[in-house]
Amino acid sequence: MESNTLNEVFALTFKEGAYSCKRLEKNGSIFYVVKFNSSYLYLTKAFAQDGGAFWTSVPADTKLNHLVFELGKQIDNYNKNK
Amino acid sequence: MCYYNGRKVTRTEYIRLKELEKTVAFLNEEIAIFKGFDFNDFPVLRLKAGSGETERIDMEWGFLPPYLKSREEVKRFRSGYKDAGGKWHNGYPCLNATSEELLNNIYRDAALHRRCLIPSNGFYEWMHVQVVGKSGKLLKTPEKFPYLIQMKDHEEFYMAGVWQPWIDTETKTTVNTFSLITTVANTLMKQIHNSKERMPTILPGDLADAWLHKDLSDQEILDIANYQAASAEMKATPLHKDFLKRENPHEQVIYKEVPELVYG
Repeated sequence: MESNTLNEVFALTFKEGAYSCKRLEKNGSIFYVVKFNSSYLYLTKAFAQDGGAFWTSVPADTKLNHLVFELGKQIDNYNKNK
Repeated sequence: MCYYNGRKVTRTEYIRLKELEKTVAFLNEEIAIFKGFDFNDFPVLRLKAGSGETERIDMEWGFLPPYLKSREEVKRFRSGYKDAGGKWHNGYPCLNATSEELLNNIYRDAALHRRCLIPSNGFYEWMHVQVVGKSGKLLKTPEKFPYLIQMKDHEEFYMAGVWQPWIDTETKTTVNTFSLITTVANTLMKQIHNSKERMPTILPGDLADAWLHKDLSDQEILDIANYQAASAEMKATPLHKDFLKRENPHEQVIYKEVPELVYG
């Protein structure tokens, strides 16, 4: 069960770097923005037609799938351990 | 059948994700901080070729004259270089174009034929303040205090610019570049940008429209380029010195070393 706390900020790590991640909600969609130096990556958990959930970047970019998978896993852990 | 990021999703989920794309595109502009010396792309308004319509396209901040042929030449032009004899040649970032000189230098042709508007919701300038060191004496180098400057009644406003297509002869690609026009600082900006006493030419709606759409005479171009927005229309917020690295870069801070601003 995910919390409804919005705009909370927490840290994610990737390749030994730490990046801030902010949880946001707009028009009913929950998504996360990760700040990489001067650029931003947006992530959301989407649901496939078979009902399975998966993390995706927004806009979609398959080249980022590995990064998105890693960060999504950390966001899931963060939400679980809150 | 709908796919998103290679996964089959329901139509409802697909619509939600596409809507989210629009949301984050807008957010990107809201939170983006553009630094001139990064020479990054910046969204700019210009006239669409062959029509009276306006288009918003990304251009590289840092006007490049057509005679430069490669990125290597661009680097030397912008940053300066030492020649074979060891003599240093200064660089010309061309981020800003001085309004008074607009028609007398490399910007002339662009000012006559390729004017643009740079949408903004705020810009940054640094106040230079002489501070007293631990020894009780004034330090030689002034300290710099950053400010965010916004327009009180307009969340988004337009700054005047000129643009220039530049062809990279190595990659055969055309890059649109622009320079932002600066005018004499008003009384508020004189206090903040006290090292140069300049500020961007911020145009009200009618002048912005004329800058982009009208066939202007030399004098009209100079009149608009020299337009000075009033201090009373602006608000200035002092920021943390490391604001660019902060989660909330626009968090206000009070500096006791800095004189209070006078909005006159």
